[in-house]
Amino acid sequence: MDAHSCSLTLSAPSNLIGADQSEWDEAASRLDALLRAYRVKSYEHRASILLNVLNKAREIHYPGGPAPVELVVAIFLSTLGFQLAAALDEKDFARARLELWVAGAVSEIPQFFSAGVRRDSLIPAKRIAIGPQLELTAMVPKKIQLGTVTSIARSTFQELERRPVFRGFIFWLFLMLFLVAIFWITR
Amino acid sequence: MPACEPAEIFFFGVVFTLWAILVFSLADLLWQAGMQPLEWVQLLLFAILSVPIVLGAVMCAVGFWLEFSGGDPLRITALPTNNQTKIAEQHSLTAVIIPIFNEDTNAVFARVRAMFESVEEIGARGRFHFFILSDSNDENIWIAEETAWMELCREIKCFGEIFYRKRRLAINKKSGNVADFCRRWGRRYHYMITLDADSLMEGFALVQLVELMDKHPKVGIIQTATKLIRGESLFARTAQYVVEFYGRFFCAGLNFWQQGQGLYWGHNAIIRLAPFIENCDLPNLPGAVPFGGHILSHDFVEAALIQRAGYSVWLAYDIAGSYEEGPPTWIDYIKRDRRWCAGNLQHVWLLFSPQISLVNKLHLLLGVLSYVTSPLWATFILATVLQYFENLRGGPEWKKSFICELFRLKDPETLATAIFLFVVMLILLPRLLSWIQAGISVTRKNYGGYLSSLLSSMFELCLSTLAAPVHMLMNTKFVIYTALGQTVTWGTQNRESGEGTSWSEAWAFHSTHTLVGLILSATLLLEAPEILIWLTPLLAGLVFSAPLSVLSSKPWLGQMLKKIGLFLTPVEITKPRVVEKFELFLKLNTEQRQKVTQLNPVEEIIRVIIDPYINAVHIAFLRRRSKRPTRKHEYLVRLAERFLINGPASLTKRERMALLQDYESMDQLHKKVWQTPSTALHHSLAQSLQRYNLLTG
Repeated sequence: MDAHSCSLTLSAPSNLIGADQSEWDEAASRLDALLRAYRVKSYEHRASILLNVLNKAREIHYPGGPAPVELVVAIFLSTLGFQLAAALDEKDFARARLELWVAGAVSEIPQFFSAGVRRDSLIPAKRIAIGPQLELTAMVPKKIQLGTVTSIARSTFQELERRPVFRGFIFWLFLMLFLVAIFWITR
Repeated sequence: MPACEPAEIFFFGVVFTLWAILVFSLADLLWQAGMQPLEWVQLLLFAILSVPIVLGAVMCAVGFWLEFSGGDPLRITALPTNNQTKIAEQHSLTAVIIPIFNEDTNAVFARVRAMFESVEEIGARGRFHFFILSDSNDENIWIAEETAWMELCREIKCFGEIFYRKRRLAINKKSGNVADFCRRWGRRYHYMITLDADSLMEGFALVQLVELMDKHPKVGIIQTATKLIRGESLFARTAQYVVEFYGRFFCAGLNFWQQGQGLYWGHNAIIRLAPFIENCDLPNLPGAVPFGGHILSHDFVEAALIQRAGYSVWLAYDIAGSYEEGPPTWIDYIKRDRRWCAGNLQHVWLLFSPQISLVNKLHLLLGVLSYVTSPLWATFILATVLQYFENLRGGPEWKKSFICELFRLKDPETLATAIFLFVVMLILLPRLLSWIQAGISVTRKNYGGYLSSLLSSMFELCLSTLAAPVHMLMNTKFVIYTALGQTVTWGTQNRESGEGTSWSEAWAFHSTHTLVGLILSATLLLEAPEILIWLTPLLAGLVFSAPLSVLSSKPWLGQMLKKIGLFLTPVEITKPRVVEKFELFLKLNTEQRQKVTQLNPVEEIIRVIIDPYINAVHIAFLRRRSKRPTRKHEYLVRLAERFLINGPASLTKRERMALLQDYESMDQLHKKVWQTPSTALHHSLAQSLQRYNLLTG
């Protein structure tokens, strides 16, 4: 675990530190859920991984240590990460997970915990391209000459924006002129 | 650029002659009776308002003539290749970009797949790279987009050919999104085909566009004329019928006079990337929004800028296989008009620029006029009614005018009626010409037969007449609001008709129109019942706007009319392959999505943290930083702890986005959520893990 994850660790309540059977049951249940999330559909595969990981966890668990859930999941993830890194030459676990999925090699997962991995089935996954190679260009706006009429209008607008009272006066003046014009036209 | 002056001279000569006849006739009529102040107003407004009417009618007539004379020889698809140009032996690599913003993910990816397979079917795979350029700021849609991209690439094995990119900061909306693509990858591609989220193009149309660009190296943009598809409601089906039945003449006429100085409509067009990158990044306009600032309707301006650099812009109106979807309801259409109005009014700044050509200025001016004419029409109608009341009180005696004498008309009323009928004829000309064409050509089969197309056009004429006064009032409101400084939000367009507009929504939206219609009707009924009949179409449209809005939005009504053969279009009768494929993939995607949601009914933000593969996809798009600033690191760690202990709902949208955009946080949250005992997790997360536990697989 790196420094970031250490700072993020959430401790289990102290009454669970004793690691009774219910905690190991929860750990087993959680690992089973995680394996399902990894799309390991076979009961047999899940059961074999569960036993494998639970045995390792019991061996290294000590009173006052990490909760069984934390331990069991950490063992599973680290084993999977290690094996994937070896199989894919990919140290980044997230990237390795992605390639595992793309390769459709989820059925290989049980083998990561036993004899070994068939590397060849994972190799095509290395073709994943998230985006093409960047080839940066400078795209910068070129000024447009707006012409004399627009320049006068622009400076007028800018002047109006700077003087809110004057702006209000102009607005009401136009409104009054409009009403006077209507009055005159309709006579 | 080919010589195009004779076409322009002929076209604008006809337009000017007709316009002058109209304005002179009215001036002569009014002048002889002695010009009243209100009549000056009428004449001035008529002179302005008749310009778009005459222009539209002449464009349509020219388009009709071109169609029956074997097609315009001066169209981009028929222009000879420049002998100096060596056609590339190896085809150019083209990027097809689809900028999206909180769109329906299933539909977006179904379209991409349909187009990709269409390209593959004609053996052009490898010549196009598809880019889905997301600016979505809804976290659920963002995650769904990433997952859909990965599923699509896995399923059809197209890694390296279909790409997804999400911007962290959506600066300058769609044009900023496109510019970001150009900056990152523009140099890799010769051309870029821009699509909207609802655009669909056949593979052969994409290939044809690329080949045209290869043949004509001084062409900067080629715009296709899109056809509307998949309309279900009466409103949407009417719109797609109008575009198909009348639109082709307009497009042919438009190309006749604009030639290589055409328009770019922002989508379903191919762009030569090098000059576009060099010249088309948009400068800000002077002043603040809504008139100044970032250019909202970027497409017209980009066309003008690339032409300033010496490249032409063509409308390839005869390239088939280019489609888009229209707004499903009248209210959605008006909401879209609100945005377009703000965008077009900004172009006023550019009308006096010495760097923009006259034809481009005319395009910009017509865009402005399409909205500004609404308040002018309202004023014109008001002035006419007021003048009528004035005359009732004993206005000046009518005398025989010059034109009356010339044509021996017995009274000025005859001349007034003739002017009125002439204007009506100009407005109806596109329909008349389309009916003629349907009568003498085999194409009528594409519209369900002559009788069917005739009835459809009559029905459409009634609907558009009733809708016109509401558009006039709404556009008047939009113009006034924009002039007073109200800004507009550029949101996601509704593309699905669903159940249509509800009565409550319709009354809320149209109550003012109904009220105005009732007041005007009552006033005229009391004061001048004899002119009520002339204004009935206008008043009926206002009074019955709410029921019209509701009925026209209903898919059942649209489908019922389809069954009896009304508003049929060629695309509806023979569905194009790419549309068929899209609908199939949309159905598959929707079913798949429903299945996943039913199995694991969790929010996307929880799914991306729980699911190892979706988490991996998400992380793959994030930038891994070697070191984060300490304060930011501590902030993100605190957010992650709150997320796990108090649940995602305890975080604001901004905080959730901060977590989602951080590589380390997403990586660690995935591990921690699985490693933390249920008692230490928020119940929503614990339950979600349990649901995954129970239902996945």
